[in-house]
Amino acid sequence: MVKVIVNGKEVEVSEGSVVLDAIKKAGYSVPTLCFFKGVYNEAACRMCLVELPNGKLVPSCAYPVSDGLKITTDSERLRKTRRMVLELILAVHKMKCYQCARKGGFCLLLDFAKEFGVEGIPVCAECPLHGEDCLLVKGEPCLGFLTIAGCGSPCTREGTPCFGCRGPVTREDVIETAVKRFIEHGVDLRDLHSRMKLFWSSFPQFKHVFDLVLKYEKKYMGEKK
Amino acid sequence: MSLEVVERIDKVFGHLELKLVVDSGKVESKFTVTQDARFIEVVLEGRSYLEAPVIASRICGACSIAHFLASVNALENAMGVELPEDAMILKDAMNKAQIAQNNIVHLFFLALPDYYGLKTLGELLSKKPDLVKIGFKLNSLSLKAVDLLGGRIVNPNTYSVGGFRKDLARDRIEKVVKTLREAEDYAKQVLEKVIELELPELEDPAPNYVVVQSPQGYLNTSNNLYGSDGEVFLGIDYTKYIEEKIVEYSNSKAYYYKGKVFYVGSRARLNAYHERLLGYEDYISKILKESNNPFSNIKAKALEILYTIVDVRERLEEFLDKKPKLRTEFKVRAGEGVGVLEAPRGLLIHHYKVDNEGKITYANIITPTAFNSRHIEVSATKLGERVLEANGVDVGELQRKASMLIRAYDPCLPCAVHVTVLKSER
Ligand code: SF4
Ligand code: SF4
Repeated sequence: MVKVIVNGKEVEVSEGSVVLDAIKKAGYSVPTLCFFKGVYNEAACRMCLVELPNGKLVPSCAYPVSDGLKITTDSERLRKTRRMVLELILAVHKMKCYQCARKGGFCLLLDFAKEFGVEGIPVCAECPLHGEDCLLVKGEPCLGFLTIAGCGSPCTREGTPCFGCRGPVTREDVIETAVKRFIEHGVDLRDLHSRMKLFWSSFPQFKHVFDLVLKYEKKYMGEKK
Repeated sequence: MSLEVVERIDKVFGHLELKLVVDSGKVESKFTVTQDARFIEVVLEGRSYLEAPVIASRICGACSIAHFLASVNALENAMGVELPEDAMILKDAMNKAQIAQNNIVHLFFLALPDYYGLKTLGELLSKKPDLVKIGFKLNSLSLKAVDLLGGRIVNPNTYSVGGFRKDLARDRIEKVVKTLREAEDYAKQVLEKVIELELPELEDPAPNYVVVQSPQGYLNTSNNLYGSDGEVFLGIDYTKYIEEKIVEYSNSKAYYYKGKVFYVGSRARLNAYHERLLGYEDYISKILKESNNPFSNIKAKALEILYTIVDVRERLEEFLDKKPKLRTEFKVRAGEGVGVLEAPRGLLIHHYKVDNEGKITYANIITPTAFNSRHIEVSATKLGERVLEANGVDVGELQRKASMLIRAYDPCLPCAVHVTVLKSER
């Protein structure tokens, strides 16, 4: 038997176990995606990261226990990292739930995405895959920067600026950068607002996003003057 | 003795009811659109000319291209945009491809089972598997053509006011041509089957129609309308010739051409321009024998499938050897414009006024099913009387025939809802 200290709580687990067992025994939990007890513990998804006292992040589903091991399962840094991990996973996953057999229900990935507030990548990330010129740079009011991807950006592929039909991205840093770019490329902001209201106004997060857009517009328009 | 037969019609796009009141040998019918109002026109107000077609195309998922193009036409007329000829041709091709696809859906998924005495497509599939499989094939091929021309299968994104956003690559046009060539044979088989179908007998009580005048050929767009009495008038004068009345029992209005009930759609188009269809004389002579029967709409639709598939292919083949000019420069300016278009189900009118920033200040949209609604009523009355004469009061037969008639018109209700006059105060 070895002693492990999980978030300050002492538990005893048998030798050869992994940290995840100790966490469970101590009554805590960490999010896992790829882990399947007894079948799969390759630490592929990296969602189960925990922190060691020396600041190292290790995957709890594969890290072996040792006597007196101290671990933390929850901290600001861990949450941020897990979020980033999730974003990386979703960046190649594309949230095309309408094509999925589970139809967006009973899906761990989607549940985590909701829990962590990760909504996939903006349309811009898919758009250049077609090898087209950016419309925003030409001064067209393209909402691709602020719209959740997954459509395969059929509109920008045909030369039509994105109308944002898939709903807005809510991350503040993305919104800030987007607004900066809009102003930089001289897009008519009134056009953009009208476009945002077209499809987004039916989304619950619309007000939040729109307020942020207005806030940063004020900030950067002021700077420009 | 008085009897009320209310039939909720299934296998149509949207929700509608037909009420037949049978009273001592007389029949009165009420065509009631029960679909909720949608206020699209109010949504359009204040929107820019770039957004309006995008919104308009969302009116109907089945004929989104028609609404998109009618909206674009209206805006182009309002701002005086002169399109290059190639762009016009490609625009028409887009519309025709969609007419083919919509007609296929209407025939196979909604109307055809009726004529084999069956209820659903599933039953038809087990009885006539070959025919239905051809239908599926044809549907997917025509959808592919729509996809290639419009950018996707619904809500086209290749076009905006002033022309196509980008040149269509040569291999893309080649793909359309190839797809349509494959579809041609199937379309012929379908037409040959449909043309032999036996239709219930019915004489059109109001044989008046209005179609978009086709400058040459068939189904090509212009800004004029053509009535069955030979009158050609400008689309923008539609209010002078077509009057509308509010019907208190329906969410759609009733329309009259010079005071007369009229119809629109495939049968109207064929009756107006059948001489232009060269090479189809055998089929046409067969269809025209019954041209005065509202049910023959399904045969006209089957012919249009073949015609559009062949015509689009031929026109696009010309594009293969040249670099088409698909876009033009224009200045945004204030104006008023009407876009008329032959949608799959008939005449579609979009009427806009725009201000000098290109923002819409007034919008009015009238759809084919709204035009047809009054005509459906009078034919249903006639049909009801015939059934009464032949079978006596047979509720089952009345319901069956009436819903069959309505499906032959191919009504689409989501866009027909159009009754609320709202003052927007924005
Ligand atoms: S701004 Fe629009 S055109 Fe530019 S990369 Fe993003 S989605 Fe594509
Ligand atoms: S408008 Fe919709 S479909 Fe088109 S690129 Fe934007 S999000 Fe994708």
